[in-house]
Amino acid sequence: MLSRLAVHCFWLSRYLERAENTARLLAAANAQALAPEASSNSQRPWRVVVAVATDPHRFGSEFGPATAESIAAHLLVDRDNPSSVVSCLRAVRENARSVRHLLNVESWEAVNSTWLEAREFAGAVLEQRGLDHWLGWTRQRCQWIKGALDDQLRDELYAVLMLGQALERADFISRMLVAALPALLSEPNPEPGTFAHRDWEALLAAAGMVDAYYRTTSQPLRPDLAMDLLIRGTTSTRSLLSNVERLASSLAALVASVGNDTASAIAALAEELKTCTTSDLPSAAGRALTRINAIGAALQREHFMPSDR
Amino acid sequence: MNTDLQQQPVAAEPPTSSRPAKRSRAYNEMRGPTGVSPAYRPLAEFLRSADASSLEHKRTEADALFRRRGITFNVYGDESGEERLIPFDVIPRILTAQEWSVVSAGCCQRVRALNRFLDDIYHDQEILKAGVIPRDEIVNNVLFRKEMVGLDLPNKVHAHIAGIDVVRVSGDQWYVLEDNLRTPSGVSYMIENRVAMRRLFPDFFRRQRVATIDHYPEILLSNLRACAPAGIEYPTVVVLTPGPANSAFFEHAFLAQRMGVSLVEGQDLFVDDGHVWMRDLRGRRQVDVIYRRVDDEFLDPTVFRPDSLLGVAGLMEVYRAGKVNLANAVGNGVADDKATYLYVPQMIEFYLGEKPILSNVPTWRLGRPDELAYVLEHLADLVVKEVHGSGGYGMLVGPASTLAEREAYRERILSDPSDFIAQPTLALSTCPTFSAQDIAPRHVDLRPYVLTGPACTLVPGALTRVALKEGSLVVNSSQGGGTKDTWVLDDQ
Repeated sequence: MLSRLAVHCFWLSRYLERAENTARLLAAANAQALAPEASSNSQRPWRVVVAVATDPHRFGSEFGPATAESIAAHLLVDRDNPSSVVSCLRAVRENARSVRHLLNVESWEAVNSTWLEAREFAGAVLEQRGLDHWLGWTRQRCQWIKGALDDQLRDELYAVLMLGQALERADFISRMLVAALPALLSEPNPEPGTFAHRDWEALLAAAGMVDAYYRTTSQPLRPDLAMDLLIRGTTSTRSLLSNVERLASSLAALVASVGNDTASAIAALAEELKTCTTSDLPSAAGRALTRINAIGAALQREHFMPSDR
Repeated sequence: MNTDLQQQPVAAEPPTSSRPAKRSRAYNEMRGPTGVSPAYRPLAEFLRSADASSLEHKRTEADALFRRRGITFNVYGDESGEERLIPFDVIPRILTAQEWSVVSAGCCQRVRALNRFLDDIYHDQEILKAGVIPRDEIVNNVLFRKEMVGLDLPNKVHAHIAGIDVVRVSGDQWYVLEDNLRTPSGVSYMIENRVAMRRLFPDFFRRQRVATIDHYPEILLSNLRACAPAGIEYPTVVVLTPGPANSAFFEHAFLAQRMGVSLVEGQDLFVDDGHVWMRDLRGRRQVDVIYRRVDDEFLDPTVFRPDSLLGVAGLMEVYRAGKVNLANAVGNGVADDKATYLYVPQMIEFYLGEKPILSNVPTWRLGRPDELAYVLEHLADLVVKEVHGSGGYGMLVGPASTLAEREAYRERILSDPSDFIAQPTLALSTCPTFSAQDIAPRHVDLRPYVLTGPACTLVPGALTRVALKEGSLVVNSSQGGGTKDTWVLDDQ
């Protein structure tokens, strides 16, 4: 496939994933904000959101204290924020438009009709049906688009889509861990029913892994098990490690891995996540975030830039 | 007086005032002089029982469908909200197999002659030597590309894709208004209009056998493959687009998708080692045939406009060496120019030894004193155009003009008469059209697409453009025109 079109596919996939991740993150925080304790500490549920999905300094100076309203305004409908849901869906659509001749009709129609609705996004629309409605709508639409995209040829285009998705997910989950873990780990054994306990649940919910936790552990929520699942759960499609591994396999489908520095960096990261001790997991997550960033930059530089040869 | 002028077949009574020609004179394709034509009977029956709200509903449905499928054209200064729909009329236009056979044979004949003409003028120029066309008019035409001289193209095809604009003025009289041999567009609307009609009115298609047109991209693909440079068994074909900001981008993407070929921009291609290559994720890949939707002047900055970012530096050299083929060929403008248009009937006789099936619109050349005098006397009845103009600009529509406009135009003509041609104001045929609140006749034209490969082919269908405003003769989408699905009945 043309290198230029690969760039569009790569970003289509990343923005699609980002829109969905943002919606999950917001929904989890919004649920937390409704907890009784939140009335005395209303900033707390939004702390991770601000750290993960915004530029905290810019957010503070432009929007003031984080509230459901200010966060929604910035992350859902703000067209000046390139990572807001509306901007992401627009980017998905614009990228898809450039490669529409390579997409199946259903994918293009899903992307296009989603954008046609999303462009009506504004404060008023938000108030009318409520934040939860639009977060649910966003997740549903992203899932619809992904379902349609999955019904594609298993060719280079698909590999690029998977690569973008894996990179975005790996980035998101490590970003979230780095933002949330310090506070979470300051309370080593949170009791069920406490705010701290629900913070863990919110983290799993934002990662889309609540059910995955209970099904894989059959245990009440334990920080060490939750962390292990988030970072290296092997059966989850959302854990950090599974996405790093998907990065490796998608890249291998596109270019020869032997002698490829990016492929080596990905393999090294996977190896570290697999072998590190449980007590070392929090710092491994921190290192992973830096490395994923570097891998993303290298992928763009080496494989998604047009060149002469 | 020139002989071909005396054949003027339009019985155009000169209008007495400067108001639009009377509608009643136009040929109504559904309701002929002897009542509703048989081809239209099922439709007429449906229209009698349909109320405005159900048609309005269908129209809304069609708009939503086009919008969802992204069948839009861009308005320049692209903010994605600015993509527009071309108005689609839900009432189809119907042609019988017999009517179609005349139009299609006529268009095919024209394109065969035009291809022969292009190959001739860039080689031995027999038609100029024979004095059929004055040499000056061709070799001094700005659209004559010296880069094409002596270039042997595969199968000698220059116009692989041609859009012939025809209009109808009576039951059996069609005129060719214009030949488009450069980068004619609109074929995607022809195909998508049919898709929409099948969804909106499935019953129609059960009642009448409508010939299918969906295989157009298939024929195009096999023609493009067949015109690859010699010796290439599995040619790589691409569609070259100016990019997503181009008004016809949807069509470029549509055709690339249907043919399963890469949709490339100039920046995706480069020349090296005597070949054209595309920048592929896995490395470079040789390109053999380029269906280009980029105009001549932008194709190669080293030969044509140096500021072009849409083309490929060095492309012409590879083309001239026969290592890549372009569809359409470079330099076709000289054949579809208004000045050359006048000679197409003679070309048909010269190259094919046949009588033209479709007529040209009778045309006066204002460079000839006697014709100039006639035209100046009859300005109020005629349409006057610039020889090298296009898109309806700089034109005088006599019957719709004021005295002051005619006087101003007269001055323009007199400053350089040879820059102008004049034609009678044709009463374009009408078809029933759903306008605003009711069904009314509106003027239409027809653009069939002629594909030339090893053979000359038309799918049985065409793009019908309709002037949605009452009385308007302008079918152009930028000036209130829309499109209709065009059915050719299959009488097998």
